[in-house]
Amino acid sequence: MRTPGTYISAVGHVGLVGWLVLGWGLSSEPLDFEVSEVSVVSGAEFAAIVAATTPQPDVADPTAPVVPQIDDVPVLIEPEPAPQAAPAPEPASEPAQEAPPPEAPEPPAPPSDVVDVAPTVPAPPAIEAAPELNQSPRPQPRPAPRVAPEAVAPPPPDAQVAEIAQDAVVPDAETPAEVVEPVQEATAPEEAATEIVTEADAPSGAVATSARPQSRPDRPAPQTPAQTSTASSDNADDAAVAAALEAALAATAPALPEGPPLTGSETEGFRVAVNRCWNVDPGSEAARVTVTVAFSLDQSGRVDGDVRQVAASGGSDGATSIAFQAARRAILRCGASGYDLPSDKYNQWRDVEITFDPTGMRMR
Amino acid sequence: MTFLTKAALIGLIAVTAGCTRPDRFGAGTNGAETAVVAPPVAVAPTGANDPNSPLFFNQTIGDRVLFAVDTATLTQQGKAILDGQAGWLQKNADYLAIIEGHADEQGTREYNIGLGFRRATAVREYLVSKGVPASRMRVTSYGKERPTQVCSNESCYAQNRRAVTVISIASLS
Amino acid sequence: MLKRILIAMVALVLAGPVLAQGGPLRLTITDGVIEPLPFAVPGFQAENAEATQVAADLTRLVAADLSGTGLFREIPASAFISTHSSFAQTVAYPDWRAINAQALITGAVTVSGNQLVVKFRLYDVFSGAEMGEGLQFAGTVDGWRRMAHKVADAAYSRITGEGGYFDSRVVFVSETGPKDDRQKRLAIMDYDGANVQFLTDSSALVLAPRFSPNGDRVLYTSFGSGFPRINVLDVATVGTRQLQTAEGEMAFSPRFSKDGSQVIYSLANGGNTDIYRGDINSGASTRLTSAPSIETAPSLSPDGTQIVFESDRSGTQQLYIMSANGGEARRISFGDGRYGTPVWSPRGDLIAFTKQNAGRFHIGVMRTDGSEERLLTASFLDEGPTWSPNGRVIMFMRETQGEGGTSSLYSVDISGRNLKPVSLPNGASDPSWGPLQP
Repeated sequence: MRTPGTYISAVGHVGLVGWLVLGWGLSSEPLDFEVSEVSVVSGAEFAAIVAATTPQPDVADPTAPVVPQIDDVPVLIEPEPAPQAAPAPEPASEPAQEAPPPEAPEPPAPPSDVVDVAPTVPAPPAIEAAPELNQSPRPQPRPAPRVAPEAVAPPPPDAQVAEIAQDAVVPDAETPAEVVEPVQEATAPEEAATEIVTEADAPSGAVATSARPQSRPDRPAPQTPAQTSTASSDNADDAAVAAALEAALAATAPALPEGPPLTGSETEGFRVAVNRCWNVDPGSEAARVTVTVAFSLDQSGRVDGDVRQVAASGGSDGATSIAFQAARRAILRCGASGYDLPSDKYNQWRDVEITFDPTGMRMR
Repeated sequence: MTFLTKAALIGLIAVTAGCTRPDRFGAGTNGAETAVVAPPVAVAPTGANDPNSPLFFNQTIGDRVLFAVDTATLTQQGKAILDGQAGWLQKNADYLAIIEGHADEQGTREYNIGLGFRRATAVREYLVSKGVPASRMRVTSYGKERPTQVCSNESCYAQNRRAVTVISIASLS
Repeated sequence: MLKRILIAMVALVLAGPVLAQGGPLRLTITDGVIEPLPFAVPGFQAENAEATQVAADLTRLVAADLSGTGLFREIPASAFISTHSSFAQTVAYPDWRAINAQALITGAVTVSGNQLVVKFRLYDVFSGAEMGEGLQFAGTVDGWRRMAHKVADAAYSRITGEGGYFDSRVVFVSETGPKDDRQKRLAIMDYDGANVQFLTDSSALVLAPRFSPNGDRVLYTSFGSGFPRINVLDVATVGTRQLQTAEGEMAFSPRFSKDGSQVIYSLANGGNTDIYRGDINSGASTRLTSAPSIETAPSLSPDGTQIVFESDRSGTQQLYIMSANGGEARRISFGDGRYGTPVWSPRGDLIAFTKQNAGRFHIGVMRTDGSEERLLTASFLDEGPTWSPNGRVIMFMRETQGEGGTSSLYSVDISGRNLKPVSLPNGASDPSWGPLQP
C-alpha cells in the first residue's frame, strides 16, 4: 500500500543505515597500549644482575635448628639399658643443652580442668545476625601448657619432650662389641599453643591445630631466568625482565654494590633463636617492663662477655630487674652453642642490642 | 429432607427431652428411700479443718506466694493468697508472723539475700495495706540458701522464688 | 643497553634502605614463650637420723608448692646427673645446666626433740651463682608444713620478684548434706587444703566469712537468730560476738578496713539494702549509699580510699566505685550480663568479680576503670573470688548443677592458666584468703 507512512518509513530506514555505514560522528581512536623498550642483554650479564638482587636462601629452618649428629646427643637416663658411657653430656652442642628431661612418658596433657558440665551449645545466631558472618572467629588453639609464637602439635605418645624432633633409634643388637650407639628415644618438641586459652574461651571441642601462620621470610623468586640460555629472543627478554623485577621486589634487603648486609631471613632467624628461650610470665609486674640489653658475640656466634642492660621502662626497680634477668637468660641459654649467623658478615653482628617488649603478650 | 422427616425429628427431640434422673445429683432429700437418720451433731473441727489453726493457714489459705525471675512484684494469684492471709491474721490476732524471702540459685549470694528481702517486704506491705498491723510482722531473707526444690531448671526455680509467711504465737525476736 | 640501564635502575629504586654499617645490630623481640621454669630440688639433707622423714616430706612439699603455681616445673630426681647430698658442697653447675634446670634449691633439716631447724639455699644455674642469701627457719616439728611453705615462698619471690603466698590460710564454709538441707560451718585451712579445722558447729547457717588483714579475726554472716546478722570471730580463741551495726532488719556481707578497726557491710531496711561503714568495737556507723536499689558486696581498695560494690540501680547488677566516705558512685562494668561480688586485688591494679551471662557464670578480672575485662573461668555456677596475698592467684567457689550438686573450691592464675581444684574432703564454698603469716 502506497501511503505517506510507507514513504517516510522507507526514507528513515535508508537514512539510518546510511548513517551507520558512513559513520559520521561515530569514529574513535584505537586504545593506546604501552610499548616498553627492550634491549638485548647477554645471559651472563643477566645472571649477575639477578644474583646480586636475590637474598640467600635459608640455611636452616628457623623452627628446627641444626640437626645434631648422632654422637652429640646426650644419653637419656631411661628404661632401656642406656649406656651412660660415651657421651657424658657436653653442654657444647645446643641439642645437649636442650636435652629432654626424661619426663613421665605421657606428653603434658591439656590441663584437666575440663568444665564439669559439658559446655552448652550456644543457640544458633538469629538470622539478623548475618553481619557476623563476615568475621568468622579465629580458630582457638587448644589449651597447652606451653605458649609460644608458633603452635606445635602434641608430640607422639611415646616421645620424650625435647626441642627437636628425632626418631627413635634403637641400637643394633648385632653390634655389642663396637662402641654402643646411644639409645636415642623418639623426641619431639613440647606441645605449644600460640596464645593463652583460658577456660572462659576454651573451644567447645573442635581441635584447631591451624594457628595464625607465622610470617616467613620471602622465598627467592624462581631462578628460571638464570637458566635461560642466550637471551636473544624477545620472549626470553620479556621473561627475564619480569623475573628480575619480581626478584627485586621480593628481596627484603636488596643488595648494594659494596657488600651484602644481613638479609631479612638471617635477622629473623636470629630473632627466633632468641625468643624461643625468652620466658615471659604474663601475670607478673615484669610483663609490663620493656628492657633493652646489649652484648657482643665472637666469631662462632657465642656471647662474648656479659649481657648489659641499656634501657628499661614500664616498671619498678624490682620488676625491671626480673625482666632484665629473663632477657639475659634468654640470650645466654639459646646462645650457649653459638648463634647461627653468617660468618662472612661478622662485622655487622658483632655488637647486638635487643629490645624485649612483652606488653603485647599479656593481652593474648 | 421432606417435611415429614423434620417433623418426626422434632417430635423425637421433644419427647426425649423430658427424660431425666431426679437423683442424678446424688442421693438427696428427694430420694424416697432415705433411712431415718438424725442430722449430724456439730463437732468442733480440728487440724486442718479448724479455720483458726496454723495448719489451716498453711494448707488451705496458703503460706507462700511465688515470684517471677528477678522480680519482687506480687502476681494476681499472690495477692489472692495474701488476701486470705490478711483475713486470717486479722481474725486470729494472737498470732505473729515472720515473712521469709527466698530466691533461686541463679545469682550470687549477697544479691540474692537482698532480693529475698525485697520479696518479703512486698508481702508485708501488702498485708499492712489489707489491715494487718505492721508491728505483728517482721521480715527476713534466706537468699538462695533454703531451696525447697533441688533440681536445676525452671520448674524447681519457680517454686524456690517465694515469700513464706511463718506464723507463731511466740514473740517475734 | 637501554634494557640494562632500566633493570639496574629498577633494582636500585626498589632497593630499601641498607642496614647501617656503623652501629650494633638492633632487634626488637615482642614474642616470647610462656612456659614453666624448670627447677630441681634434690632431697633436703637430713642432718640427723630423726630428721630423715621430715626432710623427705619437706622436699616434696616445697616442690609441690612451686609446681602447683603453674610457673615452675620440677625436674624429677631420676633425671639428675649429679646429686647434691651435702648442704655445704659446691654446686656442679654444668651437671644442672645439662638437664636444663634453671634454679636449684637445696636444704638441710635438723630435728632435736620437738624442735625443727631448716636451712635452704637457692642457686641460679645459668649464672652459676647463688641467688640471694641462704636462710634458716626454726620452729616445732608440727609446723613443718609452714616451714616448707616459707622455703617455697623465698624461692618463688626471688625468682619471680613478687611476694609469695604459700604460707597463708584460707577461711571458708564447709558444707555437708543434701541441697535442700545443707549443713554449713566455718572452717580454716592451709592454702593447699591441708590442716582443716572447724571454727563453728553447724547449728546455725553461716555464710561468706572474711579474714581480717592481719589474720587474727573473721567476720561472717550468721542466721542463728533467724535473721542475718554479722558476727566477729577471734581465730585464736574461736570465740564469737555479734557486731553492733546500725538499726536495721538485717546485716550481711561484711568486710574489714585495711587497719582492721572498721567494717563495711550491707544493711537491709524497709525493703532496701544499702552500704554502711562502722567501727568494729563501738558500733558507731555511717550510711554510705542511699539509693532505692540493692547495694551490697562492698570491697575496699588496698589504700583504703575507695570502695567497689555491686548495685542494681541501673536495672541489673553492675559494679560501681565510690569514695570510701560515700558519695557519688561511677559505674565500671559495661559488658553483657550481670556483675557481682567485686573484690579489689591486694596489688591495687585489678578487681575480680563474678559475671553472669546467658545462663553461665564466670570469674573475671578488670582494671579499676573497668577496662580490659577478662574472663578466667566458665561453668554452671562460679562465684565469690578471693585474692592470694600477692594478687597473682584467685580462689573461688564452683557449684555443680542438679539435685546432687555440690560446691568445691578452685584456684586459677590471673592469666587464666592453671585452673585446679583445692582438695578437700567435703563440699566447700565462700573462700576468703588470709595474709602471709609472719
